[in-house]
Order: sequence, then C-alpha cells, then structure tokens
Amino acid sequence: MRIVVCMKQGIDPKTVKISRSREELDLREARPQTQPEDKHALEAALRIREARGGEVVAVVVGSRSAEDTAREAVAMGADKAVWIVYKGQRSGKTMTALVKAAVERLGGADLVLAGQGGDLDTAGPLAGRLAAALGWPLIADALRFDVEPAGLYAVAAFEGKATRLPVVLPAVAEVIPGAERPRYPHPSRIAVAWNDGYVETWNAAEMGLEEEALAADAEMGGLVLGAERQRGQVIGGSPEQAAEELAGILRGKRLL
Amino acid sequence: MGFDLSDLQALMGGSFEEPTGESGGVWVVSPDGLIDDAMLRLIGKGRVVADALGGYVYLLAGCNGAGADTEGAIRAGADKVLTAGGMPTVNELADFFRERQPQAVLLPRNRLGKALGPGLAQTLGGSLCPYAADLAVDPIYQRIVAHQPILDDAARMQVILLAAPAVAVMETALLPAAFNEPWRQGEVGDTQLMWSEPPSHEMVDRPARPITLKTSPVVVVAGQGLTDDAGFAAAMELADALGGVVAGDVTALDMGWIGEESLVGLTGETIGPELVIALGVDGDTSFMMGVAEAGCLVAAQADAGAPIVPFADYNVVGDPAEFARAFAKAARG
Repeated sequence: MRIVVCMKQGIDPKTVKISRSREELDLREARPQTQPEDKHALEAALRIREARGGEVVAVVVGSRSAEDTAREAVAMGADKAVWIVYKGQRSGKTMTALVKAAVERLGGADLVLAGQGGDLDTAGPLAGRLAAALGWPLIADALRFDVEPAGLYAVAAFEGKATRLPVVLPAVAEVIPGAERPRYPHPSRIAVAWNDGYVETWNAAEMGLEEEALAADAEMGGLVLGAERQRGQVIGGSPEQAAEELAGILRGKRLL
Repeated sequence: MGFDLSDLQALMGGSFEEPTGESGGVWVVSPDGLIDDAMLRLIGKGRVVADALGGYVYLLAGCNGAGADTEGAIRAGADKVLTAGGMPTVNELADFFRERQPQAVLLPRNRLGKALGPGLAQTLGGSLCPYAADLAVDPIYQRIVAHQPILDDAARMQVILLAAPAVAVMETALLPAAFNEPWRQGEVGDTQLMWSEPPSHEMVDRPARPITLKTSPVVVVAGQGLTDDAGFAAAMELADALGGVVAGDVTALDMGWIGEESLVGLTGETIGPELVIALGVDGDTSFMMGVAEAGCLVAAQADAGAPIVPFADYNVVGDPAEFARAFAKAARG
C-alpha cells in the first residue's frame, strides 16, 4: 500500500507582522516552517503504515527552502520524499497539477492524504481538488484511520461529532487535527534524513507539465485592514452587569 | 417620451431585461436545501456581486428544497430559486453548471460547502477561494475579488479569482445581515434533477484532543488579587464554564494554587490562546510578555491603575472572584 502525503512549506504566522502604514505583510522576520496541518496528515499516514505495512511518500512542492520540509518528513518517518522544485506562484490549481503528476510518476497510490490549508497558505486545501483531478472519492475532515481485518476505516468529524466510514481505495482524504499529535522526529532519523537517496528532486518539465497546466487560477492582491485593536476599555457596573456586558461582547466576537 | 422604471434601473447601472435563461449569473448553492439566516446572508452577498456584474442571482437548493424559505430567499436578493432532489456530488454539480457557465458560485463554509467547493472549481476549470469573508468586483476588469481572512482575521488578503467560474466558499458568520426587501420579485422552479441520496453515517464519539495550557483556546489566569482559596475556586469554576484551563502568574505559584507547569510569564509558559481572562493579576512585565500573543485579553482586578489596564482589551474593576462567578453564570447562558 502506497500512501502519498502532500506537504507544503509555509510561513510561521507568529513571525509575520502587519504593516498598517504600508498596508502589507511585513515578512522581514518571517520564518519558513512545514505547515503544521500537513504534519497531521503525515502522522495519520505513518500510523496506517505501522498497522498495515506499505510505503509512505511525502510530496513537497516549493523552492529551495522546501527541501527542509522534505527532509523533515523523512525524519518524522516517511520512507522517502519527492521534492518538486517550483518557484512560481503556488495556487491551488498549480499545486494540484504538480501533485497529480507526481502521483502518476510514482506509479500511482492507494491513498493520498493532505492537510487543511494553513493561515497564510495561498494554495488552500488540496484534498478536494486532488480528488476531483484524480477522479477518486474524497474523505473530508478525517480525524484518524482505523486498520481492521475488514479493511481501512476513517473516523471523520461530522456536525460536532464523528462518523466512521469504510475507505474505498484509491481515495483522497483531508486530515484535520485529531487526538493524535504529530510525532517529533527521532534524532537518529534526523541524521539519516540528510543522507542521499531519501529525497528525490523533480521538476515540472520532467513530469511532462507545460506552463499552461501550471498557470495560476488566482493571484494575490493587497491587504484589507480592519479597525486597529483598541485596548484599555473599562466595563463598569456591578460584577453581574459587567459579566453580562462582557459575555455579549465576546459572543459578538465569537470568543464564547 | 416615456420614462419608466426600466429606464431608471438602466441609468442606475442595473439591467432591465427579465431573466430569460439560466446562464451566467451568480449561483448560491445550498446542497442540503436548508435556507437559514446564514444562507440568506450568502444570497445577499450574491446579490451585491451580481449587481456589480450586471447579472442575476440564482439559488440552487438540494433535497427538493426541504426547509427552503423560498420567499425569504427572494426577499434576500434571489431572482430565481431552483430545487433539485437529493444532495449533489461534485460531478453532479459540475454537470449542472457546465452548460450554464456561471460567473460565480457561492457555497457556505460548512461541511458540505468545504467538500464540494474545491472539487467544483477543479472540475469546471474555475478559480477558488476556499475561505472567503467577503467578495467584491474589480470595477475595471470586472473580476471577482475574494477577501480571505489571515492571521486570525487581523487582516484580509485580497484573492483575485482569474478563471470563471469563481467559486467562493464563504464564512457566512462574517457577512452582514441579510437583506429583507419585500418588493423584490422572483421565480421558483424545479430542475427535475434527482441527485444522489445523502449517505447514512455510523456515528461514533469524536476523538478528543488533550487540552493543555498550550492548546486551549481559553485560559483563565489567577493572581493574588483572588486573595484566598475560595477566589481560586471561582477561577476554576470560570475555566470550567468556558471549556478552558486554569493557569496563574508568579503570585499564584507562591500561593500554592498552581504548579510550575501552569505558570504564565517569561519564567513559565508563553501562551497565545484566543481568549485570556486574568483574574486578580496586576500585570508585571514578565506576565505581559507571557500573554502578548493572546487574541483577546480580559482583566478583572481591584486596582484601576494597575499596569495591566492599558494593555487589556477589556477591564472590569472590582472583586475578581465575584466577577468570575458572575461571568461563569453569564457564559453558561
């Protein structure tokens, strides 16, 4: 069983600032990181492999620094990673075309897992697009997978609860953070991950993709800024009155 | 020379032609046929976009429009409401839209919308914004521009949707209130389509994520202003009511209320939850650095001149334990 995990390198949101004067993101201190959402997908794949055997291949699309994500995937436990070197804009359509071509070049897959889109992720979630592109069924909001003698089952979030459904392979699943936290790479694996042979480097031309197939379907414009955060507001009245007023304010901000 | 409503509409940039077909336009899709307030808001946004594009708004409701408030949908801005049987798959929805060539397709950002939107955009060769808080139309190029929240909605990034149809999965809670315009007229029709039956689901318990100080969206921080164990118990009661965890500053550690693992500040944990409620905390530099990443900081303590006051988003000046009990009651509703 081959499980392909789509992984992306994003930006740590905590290192991004908003420049209100220039109305743009200040990325001077931005640090790249493997998207945490994708690590949940990798963790799910590793647990399936541990229960059922097979191979886990991470597919990473990005420019030079994306190699770190490919190596990190191997360090976490992927059997190998494919790093697709692509310097253009990573729109959802572009990423889907690249990952689909990679799956085909790998000789197919039984299961493709992807995480949710990250906060500053311009490509968005890929699972729905990949399922349509590959013509495979989509399992949305998968929390975990159960390997049983009868087959593979997915436990997926469903209207505040969860539902359990059989996975008909081949399939694409979008994995959301569940009870299982992504594992930390073992130090020995971190050393191994930088050895030759674990990360294959491909490019779009090698996979037979032309520019038209990689044209972005969307482009980023400027920022729209809301009102600046106001601090220091004092809510008066008795404790009960203040509590009621504050509860109303926080409900309006969807914090309660 | 006569001058009627049609001419006035034309002067105002609208169209005076009656809907003659179902091609183009802005389509709002309710896969399960439900037309609630969220869908009415979405129809209203569709109306605004359609007016800017000079097109019509269609509402497509699955499950035979079960529970569909068609009159409400028309008052909210729909020109035509179409129903279909069953719940569409991506391919069924794509087949429906392929011949109609919509300019935009709007879906609510719920389970069904998130599952259908990306596949629909991919299958139709359109463009996608998977998380849109607002939509606008570029007045020069007539392109649809989605506003995607970033950094916990601290700002919104404009996403220019280049390919048609522009598929937007919209967060309806962020949209303005629905229109309610009784003078609007529209049609109600049936597509005669029978889509797939909604699948039955085996329900199981949802695997719970362990809630820790680092992962909890709500943290109640106790400080010496709570004065005694009863005060700290009020903090615990509030954390329970909000589904969060209790932590403390250095003074709470000294009082023996918390362990070192629950200490917030430079000498303990640096946290960034959606909501921090500081009870009886003065707010020294160490503590403020520990909660600098919090989405919203509420402080309740007795001293109106405490250092935390200008930094907190909301302050309640008074007995923090009393406030905690009252707020727990208000939060439980």
